[in-house]
Formats: sequence, structure tokens, C-alpha cells
Amino acid sequence: MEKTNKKRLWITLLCAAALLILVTLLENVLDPSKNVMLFISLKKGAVYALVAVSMNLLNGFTGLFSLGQAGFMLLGAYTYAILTIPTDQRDAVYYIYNGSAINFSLPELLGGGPVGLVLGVLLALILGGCVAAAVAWLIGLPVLRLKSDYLAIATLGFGEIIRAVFQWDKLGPVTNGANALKNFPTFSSFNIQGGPRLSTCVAFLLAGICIAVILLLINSTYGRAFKAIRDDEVAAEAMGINLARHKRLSFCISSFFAGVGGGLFAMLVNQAQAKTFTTAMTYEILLIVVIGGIGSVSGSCIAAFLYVAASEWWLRFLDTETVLKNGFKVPFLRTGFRMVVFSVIIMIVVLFFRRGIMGDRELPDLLAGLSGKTRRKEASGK
Amino acid sequence: MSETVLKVENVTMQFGGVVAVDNLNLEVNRGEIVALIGPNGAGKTTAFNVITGVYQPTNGAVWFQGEKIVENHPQGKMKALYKGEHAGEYTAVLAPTPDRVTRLGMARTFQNIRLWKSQTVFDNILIAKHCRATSNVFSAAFRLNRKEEAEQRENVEALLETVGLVDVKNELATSLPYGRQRRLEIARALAAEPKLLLLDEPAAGMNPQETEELTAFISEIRDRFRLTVFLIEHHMNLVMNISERIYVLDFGKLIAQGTPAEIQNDKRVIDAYLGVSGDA
Amino acid sequence: MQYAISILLSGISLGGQYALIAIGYTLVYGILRLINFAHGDVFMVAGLLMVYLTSFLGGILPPAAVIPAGLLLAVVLTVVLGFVIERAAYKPLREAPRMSVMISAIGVSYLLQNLATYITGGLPQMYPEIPGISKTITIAGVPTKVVTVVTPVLVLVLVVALTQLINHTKIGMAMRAAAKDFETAQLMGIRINAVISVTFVIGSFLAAVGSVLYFTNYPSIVPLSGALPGLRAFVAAVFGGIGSIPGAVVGAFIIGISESVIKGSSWSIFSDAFTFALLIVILVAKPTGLFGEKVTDKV
Repeated sequence: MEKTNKKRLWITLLCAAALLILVTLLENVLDPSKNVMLFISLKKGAVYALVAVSMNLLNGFTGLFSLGQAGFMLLGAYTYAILTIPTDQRDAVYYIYNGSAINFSLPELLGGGPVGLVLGVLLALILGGCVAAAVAWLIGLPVLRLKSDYLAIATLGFGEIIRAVFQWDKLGPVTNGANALKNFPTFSSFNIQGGPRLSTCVAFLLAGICIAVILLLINSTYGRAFKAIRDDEVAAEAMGINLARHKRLSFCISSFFAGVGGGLFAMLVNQAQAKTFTTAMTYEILLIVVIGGIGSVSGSCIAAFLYVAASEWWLRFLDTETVLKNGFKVPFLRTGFRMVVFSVIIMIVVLFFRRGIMGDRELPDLLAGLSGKTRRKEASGK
Repeated sequence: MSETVLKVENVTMQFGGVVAVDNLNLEVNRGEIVALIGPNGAGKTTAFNVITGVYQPTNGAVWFQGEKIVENHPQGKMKALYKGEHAGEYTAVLAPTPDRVTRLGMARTFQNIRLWKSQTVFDNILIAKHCRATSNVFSAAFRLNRKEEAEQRENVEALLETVGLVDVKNELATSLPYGRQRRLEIARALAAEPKLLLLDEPAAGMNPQETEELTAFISEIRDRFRLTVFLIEHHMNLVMNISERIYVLDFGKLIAQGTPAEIQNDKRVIDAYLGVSGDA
Repeated sequence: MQYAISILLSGISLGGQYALIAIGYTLVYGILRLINFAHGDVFMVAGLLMVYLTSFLGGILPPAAVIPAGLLLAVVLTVVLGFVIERAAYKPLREAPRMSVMISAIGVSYLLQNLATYITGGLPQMYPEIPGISKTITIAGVPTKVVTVVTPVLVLVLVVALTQLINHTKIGMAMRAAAKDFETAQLMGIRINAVISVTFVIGSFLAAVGSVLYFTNYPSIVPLSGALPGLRAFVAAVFGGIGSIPGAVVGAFIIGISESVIKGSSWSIFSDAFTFALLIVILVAKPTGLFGEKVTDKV
């Protein structure tokens, strides 16, 4: 038992390190301007992987069906943006409200330069997570008592409420109302001029660290308690697990990482705007979780990359009208067809791969073989 | 020696107009095995649920190891509806959640087995140790609790050895045969380190041989873990063999109590089981 | 005063339209315990069908017959769509975990929206004017469209008809049985698939009627037009206690009126937020909604 755990740990670490090196190499060998879609997909995939894993912690491992993820991402994104917009850019960003109510910027406070940038960005991301977690704690007080679908609809409602509040023009000097926040440090800020390009590497590293922490948590005594709540709430409570406390814990931690993910998302798209964090975004993340396999962290990660790559990159050609060399115009191809094909693919996956790509298995289980295999046989046998 | 571990005092449980448990009084002393029997629907499981904090009684109190842990009196709409006795005697409201009761030292099993389905035998027991863990979520996630974790794993291993489930520790809990699932559920309750073990129909659905094994098992763990056992059961063989005292419940009311021999010859008990009308 | 009346009128009309959608949610949830996320999009498709059918029929039928024929065909096709969605996307997942079915519903919703975007090219489509209900009239000094008056009356008629169907016909009895206990109903020889199909047919029919009333108040329709009314109607269904038809209707009117009141105030940006806040307050106070049945977990 202990031995296989160690083995799994090493495999996981090796995979992660290899991936990071590969991505960094790719970005410095290939010309980013010629492979735009590749790098966008990679970065977006990393961010979505983190958010999907954070949702999986709640939905897949604790059995709490929540649909508030986009709302918590929004909180993280705004916190990050508000704290990192350079002071000399504030007037330009908040021009409608004659400047910002907050006139400091974390990277500058921390000394500016590369060190200030790294520390400031990290601190802002963490604070974004904390804000999301704090709000989750407050929301959790009333709504975590609700069961399944009711919890889902209540959290979905909170997402909508948060979105409306951030668009409120009375808060304009802080949130910039319905307008976007921009000009803050993004992934591209980490491309060293004349030196190596690190933007994709940074995205992977930050998302990777967060996912690693979630993994550690899932495999700890608290993670086991979460799974017990998912499997049988009544038994979990009877065995001394404080339901309210553990549910709140899971909800806050999940929201924390959704908040960090939101900050990363803002870095990815170079802006933070409330109207992007819609219910549709939550559904998207939920789809990723389910396609990857509810209760599988590596499944969520793989599905995130596949989902992003398929929707943004691989199917792109379907949107352009194409005339073949012999003058034959390929039917159907025009703007919008990509998303039609994409949704058909999703329906096929949902209908025919019901347990998702990975079921509740993890990648190292498959690679490490034995221990995973025997356990799985029994699982499928029941 | 005869220190009272559990004391149920004037407990009435009323659902709307239906009185499920009517003015129940009973005591369980340290080291005893006590059974609660009665026909189907007599209110046995309801009594269990009141003791373990799943239900809040309508009126009455429960004491555990000399401490009052549950107390309630009719409130709100119940005030008018209440049909039981001792209405004015209780004033406080004490309603611990089941997990709190378990941490106080009382662990239970369920009538219909409730194991954690997607977990292995080992993990089922390890999870039950969670309520005794002292590490917070940070130290647990960042593995600063290695010592405690290792200790827990050792304890679980030892417990599995004791209850004879060590050979299947990496199997899924639900893949075990029925009898062993029952045993696992009891082992899981033991992992929470209780002083009082509550078993809700532990022999339900077992054949005679399995029941016999279970009987021996219960006595064995009582001695080994210095437990007090309070159980609900229908298998009269098991009940008569191991219990020191028996309480009989019928239509929510206690109709008899005593040693197995006394109960076997009690007219009211026989009537209750054979269905003779109450005024006999 | 006039302002208040006009707010109230539009609230009642909106509430009636939400009620028709909400019943679809509530019926399906009652039987399958499924939040049919695609329902709002079925409502949108019904609107688009009306647009395309009237322009198509305009070329082959005399002008007077275009609208009635279009209406009829749009309703029939929407019903067929609802039926097909259930058979294709939900029926294969009957034995699967509840989450899978819900994801399938989200997938269908996605598909319908994307398909609509593809076909319309993302451009808003003019909703045809329906003679009779698009006309402007004056009530208590307030100008409004006839549809405002027609909606509550029609809702009342349809709800009465529906409750008659559910309480006094054989299929209605089967629906009630299936809602009470899906598996036992199946064991008792109720053809569960037929019951579910009927449920979807009724739901889609009401959504189609609702879409005619709803879009008459708006100049045009876009692929996302169904999402928000769908969500609000769903909130209404949960608000009233999902699974209960009177609950859905009452919930819909409350949601409709409060939305209209807030839209008329300076807080209009918070209209959806308020709807949800109201929902959360109700759920926290009464976890299964206004008319919902209490469920207890047996230990």
C-alpha cells in the first residue's frame, strides 16, 4: 500500500516535470506568432484544468453539487486585476469613473522590477483565492444545508448575484462597472525580453502547483472524510465526521482554487470583465469535469486540454468556407459550424462514454499498473 | 462496577400525531450487553436514532457517562400536539449532531448496512479514524501529520487483524459477502474508539451459522475493547445467548425488562409477539 | 398610479409566460428528477420555428392563412422536437447516474444554441406580428398589447386543462404514479417510456405556446433568447416547489411580477440577482420550495 503510494507520487512528479520542460522548450523552439492557437490552447487548457479540478473536488469528491464556479472565478479575477493594475495606468482604465478608488499596485508596492512582479502576481492571486474562499464561507452558511439540486440552483443564483453586483455602477471606482479591467500583468509579462519566453511555462507552473495541493488534500485524512460524505452522508456523520464543517471546508477550498483560477483566467485573456463569467462558463467547466470523469483529477486535466483544444483550435477549419482545388465547395462550412460539430461531439461523449474518459481512475493508477488494475476489476464487477 | 453508561430518561418521540417512542426509560451499565427487542414498528430504531442524535426527541433526556447529552421539551406546534407525559419537566434544549455524539464515545451500526461503497475495506476503517485525528486541514494536506497518519494506519491494520478482515483489506467494501460486510461495519464503529457500541439488528439477513459466529464475535470484542454493547435484534437465539438484560418495546412503550430467563416467561412479551390484544 | 398598473400588467403577463415554461420543468423534474436545462432552448427554437415557418409559408399560402398555419406547424414541430430530445438524449441514460442525464441536458442545450447560431448566422430574427394579440389596447388608461390580457386567461385555461388531465385520465394517473415512485410504477406495469414521452410532449407544447406569447412582446429573437427566460422559469418552478404544478404557476407569477417591478425601478441591473436572492431566501426558509413535499432520509 505504502509502496504503491510512493510509486504513484514519483510517477506523478515525473510526468509533471516532463510536461513543464516540454512546454517551455516548445515555446522557445516554435515561433509563437505562427502557432498562436497552440499556445492559447495550452494556456487556457492549464487554467481550465485548475478550475475543473477545483470543481471536481466539490462535485466529484465531496458529492456537493455546486454551480457557483464562475462566480468564484469572477471574484478571483477582479481581486487580481484590482490589486495589480499599475498606478500610472489606473486613470486610463477607470476613465469613466475619473480614476480608481484604489491607488496602489502590489507589484509596485513589493519593489517593482522582476521580483516585485513575481511576488506581486503571486500575492494577488492568493488574495483573489482568499476573497473567493471568504465569500464562499459566507454563502455556505445558509446554502450548504440544502440538498443536491437545490444546492446547485442556489449556488448558481449566487454566481448571478455576484455578477450583477460587480457590474453595478455605484461600485465603479473599484470594479470599473460593466467595463473591463485591463493593463495588469499577464502571462506575457513573464516573457523576458531577449531571453527565454516563459508565459506558457508560468501558466503551467501556477496551475500545476494548485492542482498538486488539491491532490495532496484529496489523499489526506480530510480528503478521505470528503469521500465518505460523498458515499454516504448518514454513515459519515455517524462515524464522527462533522458534516457542516467538512462541507464548508470543501466548499471554501474549492472556491479558493476557483478564485486563483479566475485570476489566472484574467491573466490569460488580458482583461477581467464580469459579463464573461456567466452560467454558461460554469456549465462548460462542469462538462469538462464530467467528460474527464467525476472523481478523477487527471481526468479533469486531460479533458480540460482536449475540450479547449477541440473548441478553440482543432475544429477551427470548420468555420471557414472552403473551396477545394477542383472547384468543389465543401458544404456546411461557415461561421458557427465549428460549435455545432463540437456540441455533437460532446453529446456523443456524454451518451457513449458515461463514466468519462477516466471514470474515477487516475493516470498514475493506469501507469503503475498492478494495484490499480486489481482494484478496478472489482469496481467493474459490482 | 455497575456504573451507568447510558441512561434514557422519559424519552418521547412524536412525529406529528404519531407517538413512535412513548416515555422510554432505560439504563445500560458499563461492561454489559443489553438488548432492545420488540415486534416490527415498535420504535426500536427510533430509540437508537434519538440516542445517537439523528432525531431530536420531543421530550425527555439522554445521559451518557454521567453527562446529559440530549434534552428537549415540546415546542412550537408540538406543544398542542404533545400526547406524552412529563411535559413540564424539561426546560433546556440539548441537541448534539450525530458526529458529536460519536466523538463523545458512542458508535453505531445500521439496520441496512451503510458502508462507503467506493472505498476499500482498509479505507472504510481508516476514515472512521478521522474523528480522532488532531491535525488540521493544512498540516494534513502538506503531510506535516506523518506520525499521526502512520499511527492511524498501524491501528487500522491491527484492528483488521483482530476482526479477521486483514486478508481482504484492499478489496472494495461492497465486494465482500454479506456476513463480512456486517463484520466490517462493526469494525468501522470500533475504529471510532467508542465506549458504548450500538448495534442495530447486526444479525439481520444472516443464516444460523453466521449468526452464531456473530454472537461469539460480539462477546469477544466486548471483552477485548472493554465495551458496553446495546443492541437491537430479532434473532432470539442471539439475544438470549449474549445479553445480560433485555428491554422489550411494543407500540413505543416499554412492556418488560429483565434477564433473558425472565423475558422468556413474561406473558406480556409473549402476547406482544404472538399478537394477542393488549388487555390480556 | 398608471405607472403602477402598467408595471403590474406587464408583470402578470410575464409571469404567465414563465408559468407555461415552468410547468415543463416541473413535470419533467417530478418524474425523472432531471433539471431539463434544454427546456429554455426548446422555447427559443419554438420562436425561431415561427419566424422561419411564416416566411416560408408566406410564399405558398394566401396571406390570411400564413399565421394560423405557421402557429400550428410551429407548435407541432416543437412538440416533435421535445419528444425527439427525450428519446435521443435522455432515454439511453435511464439507468445512468442522475448527473449524466443532467449533463446530457446541458449538452442538448449547447447543441440547440449552437445550431440556432449557425442557421441564423447569429443575426437577430424579426418575430412575426400575430394579428389579434399584437394589437395595442388601453386598460385603465394604460396602453398595452392584447397579449397582456390574453396570457393570464390562456394560462388559466391550460392549467385547468392540465390538472384535469393529470387528475382524471389514465395517463394522468400513470404520471402521478411515476412521479411518486418511478421504479414501483414500472413494476406495476406502467409503460414508463410512454409516460415520460407524454410529459415531454406536454412540456414542449406549453413552451411553444409560451414562446408565442413571450416573443410577441419583443421585436426579435436570437439564439440565446431562451436561456434567461428558461432560467427564470426554472427558478420559478423551484421557488414554488419543484414537482408541483400549482407551485410552478404561483412561483412564475411572483417571479414575473417582481422582475417587472425591479426592471421599472432604478435597480434594474439587479433584476435577476433579486430573483435569485428571493429564491435563496425561500429555499433556506423552506428547503423544498413553497409547495414542495418534504423528503426525509430514512436511517
